[in-house]
Amino acid sequence: MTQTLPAPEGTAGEAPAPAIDEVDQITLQVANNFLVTTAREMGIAMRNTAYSPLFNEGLDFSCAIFDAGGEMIAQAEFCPAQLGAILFVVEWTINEVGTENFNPEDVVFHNDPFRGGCHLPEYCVIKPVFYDDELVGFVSCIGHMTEVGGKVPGGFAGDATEVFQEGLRIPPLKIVDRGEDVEAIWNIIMANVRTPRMSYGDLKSMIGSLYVGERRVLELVDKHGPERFAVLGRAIKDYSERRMRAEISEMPDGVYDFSDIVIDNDGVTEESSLLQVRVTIAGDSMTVDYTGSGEQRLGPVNCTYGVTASATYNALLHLTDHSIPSNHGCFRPVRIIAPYGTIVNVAYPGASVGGNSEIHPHLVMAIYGALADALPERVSAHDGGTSALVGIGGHHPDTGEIFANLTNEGCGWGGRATKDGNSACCIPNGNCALQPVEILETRYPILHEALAIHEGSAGAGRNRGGFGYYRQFRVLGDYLRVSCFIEKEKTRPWGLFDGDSGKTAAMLVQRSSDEDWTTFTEAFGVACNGKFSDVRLQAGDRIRTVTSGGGGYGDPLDRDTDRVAEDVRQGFISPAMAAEEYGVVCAADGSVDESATAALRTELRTGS
Amino acid sequence: MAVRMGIDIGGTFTDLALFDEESGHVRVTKAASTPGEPHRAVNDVIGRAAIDNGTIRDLVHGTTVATNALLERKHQLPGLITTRGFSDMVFIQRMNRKHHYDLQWDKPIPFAERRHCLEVDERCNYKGEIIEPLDEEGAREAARRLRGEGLSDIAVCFLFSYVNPANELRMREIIAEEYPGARVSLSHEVYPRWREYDRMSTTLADAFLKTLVGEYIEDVASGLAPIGVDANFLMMKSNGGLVDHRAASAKPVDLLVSGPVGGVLSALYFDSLVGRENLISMDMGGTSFDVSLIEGGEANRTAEFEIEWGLPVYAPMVDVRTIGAGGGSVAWIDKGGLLRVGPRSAGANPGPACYRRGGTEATVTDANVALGRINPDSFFGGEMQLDAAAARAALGRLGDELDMTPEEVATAVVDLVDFNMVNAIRLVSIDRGLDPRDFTLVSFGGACSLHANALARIIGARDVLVPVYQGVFSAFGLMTADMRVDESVTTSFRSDLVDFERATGLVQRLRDTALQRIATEGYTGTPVLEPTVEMRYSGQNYGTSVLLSLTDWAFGPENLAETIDRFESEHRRLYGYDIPGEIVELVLFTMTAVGVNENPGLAPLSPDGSAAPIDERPVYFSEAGWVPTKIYRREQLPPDAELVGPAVIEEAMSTTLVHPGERVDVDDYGNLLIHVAPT
Repeated sequence: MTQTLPAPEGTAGEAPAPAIDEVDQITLQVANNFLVTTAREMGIAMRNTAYSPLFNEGLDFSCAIFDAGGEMIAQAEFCPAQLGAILFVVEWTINEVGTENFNPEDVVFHNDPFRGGCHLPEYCVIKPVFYDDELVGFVSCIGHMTEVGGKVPGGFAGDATEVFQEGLRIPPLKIVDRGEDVEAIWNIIMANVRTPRMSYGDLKSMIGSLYVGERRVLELVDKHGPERFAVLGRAIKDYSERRMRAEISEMPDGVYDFSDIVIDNDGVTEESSLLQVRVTIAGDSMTVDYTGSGEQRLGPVNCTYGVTASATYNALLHLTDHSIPSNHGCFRPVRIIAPYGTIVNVAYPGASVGGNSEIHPHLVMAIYGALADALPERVSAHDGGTSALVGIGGHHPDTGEIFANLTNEGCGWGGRATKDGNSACCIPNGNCALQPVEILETRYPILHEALAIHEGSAGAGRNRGGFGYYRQFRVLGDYLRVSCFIEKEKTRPWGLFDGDSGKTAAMLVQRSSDEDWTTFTEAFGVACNGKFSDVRLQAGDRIRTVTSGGGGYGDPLDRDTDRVAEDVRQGFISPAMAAEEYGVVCAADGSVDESATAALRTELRTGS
Repeated sequence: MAVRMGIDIGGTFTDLALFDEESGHVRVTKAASTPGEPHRAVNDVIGRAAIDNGTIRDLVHGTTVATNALLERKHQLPGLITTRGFSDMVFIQRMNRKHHYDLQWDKPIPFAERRHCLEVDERCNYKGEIIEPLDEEGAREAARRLRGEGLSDIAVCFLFSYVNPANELRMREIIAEEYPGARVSLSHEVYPRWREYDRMSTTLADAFLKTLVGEYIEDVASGLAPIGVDANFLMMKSNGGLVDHRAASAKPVDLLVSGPVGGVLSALYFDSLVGRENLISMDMGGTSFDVSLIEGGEANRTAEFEIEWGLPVYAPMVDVRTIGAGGGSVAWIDKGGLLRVGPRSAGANPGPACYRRGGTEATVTDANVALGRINPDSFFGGEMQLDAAAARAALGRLGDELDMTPEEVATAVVDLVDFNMVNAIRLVSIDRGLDPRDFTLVSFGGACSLHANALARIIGARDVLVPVYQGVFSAFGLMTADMRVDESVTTSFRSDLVDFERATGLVQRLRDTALQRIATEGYTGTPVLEPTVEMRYSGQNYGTSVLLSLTDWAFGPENLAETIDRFESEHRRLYGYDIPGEIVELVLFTMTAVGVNENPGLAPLSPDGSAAPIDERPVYFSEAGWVPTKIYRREQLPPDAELVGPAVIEEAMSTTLVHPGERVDVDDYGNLLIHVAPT
């Protein structure tokens, strides 16, 4: 379903696209880097001015620049999950609004997952860029807004069953019209969110980033002239396409299948779901077909088409040279088939808030799984597979203000052909930064007690997975409303080539009246422990969010004893675990008993 | 007591420039570096300046010791003590990754081993209330454990210490009792800002450097009195300002780009002299190549130095990028049979093969000698006789393996090192979307002007400025530096709840502290004071700095209104919008005191010079082969002289290579402007 928009008048339409040689190497690189830097500057402007920690610390947003035809020509490194969304959202917006209806100084707002979006909390703002009276391109910012109204503070209702419960849904509308704020739209949005002051600041910040981007894009247009600017945009896209085709050509042709169980539960029922993928490599293009994947679920675990496309592109970009500029050209060689009404292409009005966050990474992993035998040097074992989203809300006891926040976590990466997985890292669909404890506690009535490595969580392997970590905090206010969306409490991140699975994640609670840690299901009777809405905790209650380790790569008995001993010496794994999982006998200080190790490894090899 | 002196210690040479305010004379010289015992090179180079050492008033020193130590990681990692539950922050880091789509990326290894990251019970909340006192016995136990491990450099980073440092201060006392002689870095002193990981990472880097840099500075200082120097011994900070050497040892993270900053200050000095505002300054010495960018007459600045991606060090600094490429860069053959150059340097000892100090490996300098570009008889002002045969022999050994002639190897070595340097130039220009064709390259350092024109051609720059004193350019820049202190205090005023009396008190205290510090650091004039405040809309996490409005050093309601106006107009300028009526927070008051020093003047060239060549010899150009080339003596060139390449212009401490067809203009002071591209 790669689709190209009709070229606007005056840019394409004439003869074949100009060859890259028409633009000299230096000019091409300077222009590309200028645009990428511009997208980055837009993001930095947003970081500097936004109100919610998910933006200014977590960086859960993307900024991108489009040509006049609505094709992306540059993107900055903020959040990959929005990659597909931003392509489709901008395309959809241009089609729905109509190119002829854009005026200078307009800004269009849009967050509808059923109009090209990824999930409802993803707000998108788009500004046409005019040079004199000529439309030369668009700048756009898409960001995961913390508070969007709907069922729970923080936008992640783990048990939502329809999009209407997930927040206020708005189709493409002008929020700024010829430079003037459209008060009606602003008022409707602010009347429907819990934290209007913060949401206003965030939305202003998103729109502000567009001015920063527009100003810089116009500098480039001014330098080259609008016609030449269009040629440069095409040359940049063509360059990426050529490099991507060259990369795919190097992959062995073939048809590669993989299937996986991808959810612990769906937030409403305990049932899991099947993900089926068939990757076909043929020459310099590829098809990714999800036919056979499970039917759409009742809970919010479904992916929009935008999510599935993002995930597919994301996997491809991870398996190819990361230095290829990310723009529309990269995706021309890819065809995606995602049957409607399944977990990979949700039908209206299904719930989808978690698909973007928790199912996207599983699609990426399924593609790694499919291509593992074809590209063993490039893929990794399964990563920890969760962003462990926790939304909190309530009244701040010090200020009386209503607050809402959403945090996401990292986990262990999967082991790789030549090295271990990274520990405590964001999974590939996001590249969010950790929200610092000092900022969270300054803003919200919680007190952290630990942010520490989940020892022993890595899947053993010749190259082990990375370790997850855990966050533990205590509730300070009278009460705290908590929602949650986490994966990998039951299904474990798989290893590759005889590597072990990573250890599971967990969402735990300790009531102030109780000594024991329990699940939320045990304490509050929620249907699914990892996905629930609006549990009310009281002062003194504690939450512990534990993330999973990545799967191992290769047989753990082949791992160098020195590397196992070093993990013991640094306290990442226990001596008992070294013996049990790796067959290495060593003391807590890492000193290895060589002969006992040799004997144990022989025993474990023959035993298995 | 009227001499200002700059001394820049590089990996290979130690450079000196001095300016005698009474006579108006500038003098420059250099000596070989003595790694491990820097005072020897310092004393040696001061001796070469041949002045009355008692007349030295200010001795300004720039060094790369801090950066090199962080990059090489050869030194013992420090111990870390944190709030209970948070020592793994250094492993968790920021959770994000360098590149979006690089599955082979490795998270950086922190500057502490996990088994040396200890926790103590203590806790402060965001309001600065100590909600759990420091567990003194646990603190003692942590100090004893680090003592048992022999980790005398210790970083302490407690949550919210930037609001209330009491527990960190107490921790330092306990360490002093349990582990006398340990050097402690407290996070609230190193970087008193929120975001625990950033503060922890910066504090670890500071602790890592503490003994190393402290001993280095003590070594230099200890050598001064015996040779009769009784000067203010000042260190160049990364921010381009000077600091007393004793204060510098206490906070070594401020010295990260101490060495290269001198070159940037010099470039700024010449920039105003020749009237060019957009420059790329390039410094190639024996070991490294430093590049930085000056746009519109302002050096690019940054507040964040990354040891590598994800390991930040927060300190204000001039943005200088460094790669391992210099005259001493060693040529070698990798396992795949390809010729490579650097980043390893033969340094001063054993040095290039042609030095005949025991070095047998071919270096970039050997290649330049073999190609006729460096005159073996006049190197280093004629003090060092180079052995061209040894250079050719070293290149020949590589040639035997590669089946190439020594000339071919030499040309390849030069091309490869040029390619590496071009990549560094790209980092500060093309990668930021700036077109190098809009910039003039400024070439300095002992080796740079042999390569600068080739770099300009590759990158597309039109001309190259070769300033006078290019061989000791960084040292020259050190002399032009001003004294500078920045005193800050974190506050938490909201625009709707400002205590004006308290704010006035804070500002006046900052002013007094800044004045006192700059006086202590040796400044005797009247410093220029600049009060600023970092502001943000209540809810934002990043601030914008603006000038603080004051009336007779008092902060009243009208001053608040004026300051908010400045903030809002700056916010509009930067981000395209403001939010009138929104609550504004005043986060950080800063008082900057600058003690302006008199700049050295340049003597105009004598009009009696001659543009006639002193010699002619064959020089190899890859585009033309061996070409008979005129040799000029730079000191003899008259003002307004014009030369056309091929040419070699020799001076005591460096050599400028002019390719066939390039045109050189000499200005009144002897600066060379080389037109690379036909204009």
